[in-house]
Amino acid sequence: MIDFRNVTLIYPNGIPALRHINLRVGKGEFVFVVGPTGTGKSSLLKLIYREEKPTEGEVMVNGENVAAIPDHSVWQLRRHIGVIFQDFRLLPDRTVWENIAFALRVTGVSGRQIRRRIPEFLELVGLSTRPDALPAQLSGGEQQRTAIARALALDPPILLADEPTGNLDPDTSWEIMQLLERINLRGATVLVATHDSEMVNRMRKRVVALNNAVIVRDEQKASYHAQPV
Amino acid sequence: MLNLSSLEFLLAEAFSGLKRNRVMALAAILTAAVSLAISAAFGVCALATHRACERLPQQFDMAVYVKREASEGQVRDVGRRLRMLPYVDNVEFISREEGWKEFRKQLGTEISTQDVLYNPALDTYRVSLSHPEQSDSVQKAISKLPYVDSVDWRQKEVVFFTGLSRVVSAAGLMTMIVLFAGSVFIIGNTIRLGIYARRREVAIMRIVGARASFIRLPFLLEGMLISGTGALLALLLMRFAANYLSQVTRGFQSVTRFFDSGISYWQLSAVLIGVGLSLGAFSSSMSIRRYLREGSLEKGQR
Repeated sequence: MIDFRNVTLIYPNGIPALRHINLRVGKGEFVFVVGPTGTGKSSLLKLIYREEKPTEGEVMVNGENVAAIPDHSVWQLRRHIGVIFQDFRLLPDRTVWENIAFALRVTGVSGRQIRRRIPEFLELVGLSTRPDALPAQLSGGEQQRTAIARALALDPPILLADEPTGNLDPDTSWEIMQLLERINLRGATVLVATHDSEMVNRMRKRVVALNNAVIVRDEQKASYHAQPV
Repeated sequence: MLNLSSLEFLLAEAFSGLKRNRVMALAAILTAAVSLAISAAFGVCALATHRACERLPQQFDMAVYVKREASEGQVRDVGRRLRMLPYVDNVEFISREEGWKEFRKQLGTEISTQDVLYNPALDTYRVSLSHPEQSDSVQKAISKLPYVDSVDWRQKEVVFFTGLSRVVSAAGLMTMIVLFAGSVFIIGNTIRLGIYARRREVAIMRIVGARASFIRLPFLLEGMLISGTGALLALLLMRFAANYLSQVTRGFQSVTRFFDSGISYWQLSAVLIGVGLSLGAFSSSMSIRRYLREGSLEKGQR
């Protein structure tokens, strides 16, 4: 489903973010990408949803070379990929419902479809009772749930999470991880970039460890022990 | 791809963008209105003087007088030569007798044939030109023809009107360029601020896979709403100005009658709204191209 073939990414300032990455993620897998801050975890995700293009090598998603997609067609790739971030990126002046509806509206989903589908997603992420709350009225965990519902709104087969629990306390983080696992069990391929070793160790999933822009470890049902920076 | 609810959404986004950015939008609307009104005023004036110039040949034909001693054949010969000159459009012969009749008619009954010993009028050719601005050279050529007594034409008026037409057109064009550039700048800036104010929305649209056209359309509509409203204001402004001017110049109808652009208020409205909408579309697409490039916003957010 996702295939990195000898991928190197060097930013314009000359600093290599990733070097000679070879990584295969199959359909329906749950993968943690771990490593200290600044080792290229986010860059690896960005290559998948074509926020960045590799300097060398190829990133294949569903058998398609992502870098070869022309700019005006990138939207087609993005509809297959849901992305969530550490800072949630919700629209502060819109309610939970409107934030989710926004993603559907701008991708051309009809009003009737939107009214039918949103309750489903609210149910899935456990926010059925708070559709009219503004982001500022929500806890961090609830905000991240809203962001997850929005990312899932188009039923993408791939979900990318960039430090999804970075701003959350351990209990809430655990709830979010369980939610991501539930989404994975429904069939989505999930990649989580994190440096939260406690969470990774509790989940016992595949772990890809990055250090200094290269993959240093790739193990199933693994644990991760953050080294002191 | 554009269903009804999408269209509704795009319009709502464009309006909310204008509301959020009220002061700037208002400034942009007023700038567009003033630019369009002044440009249109110049356009109408240029058209009016141009049309006045076109009618000059009829108003200010040349009168070519043939010497009294010329024989009938020689008079005909003058006519033949006149018709062969360049820029000559039409040549009409007026005999001494007709000229005298005309003259008496103009003076009324005060002079009768009995009061003068002979008919003082000369055989005359009335010459109209295809290019009034060539009057000077044509006049020189005619004066050199044999048996031509003199050439009478209203040099001053012709020169004045062709000159005026040129000045009005040139000044109008310059003013139009400056004003339109100003409008493009201000509308473009309003759109740029709008893009900045909605950078979060734009970033999310991109992440979830909205089409580029869908992201751009609200900003394009916003620019067209600004300049369209400006065009409507400009029309109102021109209506008031036209009413005021026609009241002020009521006493000079003999002069103002001469200046007629020949276009109706409805034609003006259509042109102004068309130009206005294109102005808005152009201004916002400049900003969209510059500030809404793929990646330009996300890069700024990092």
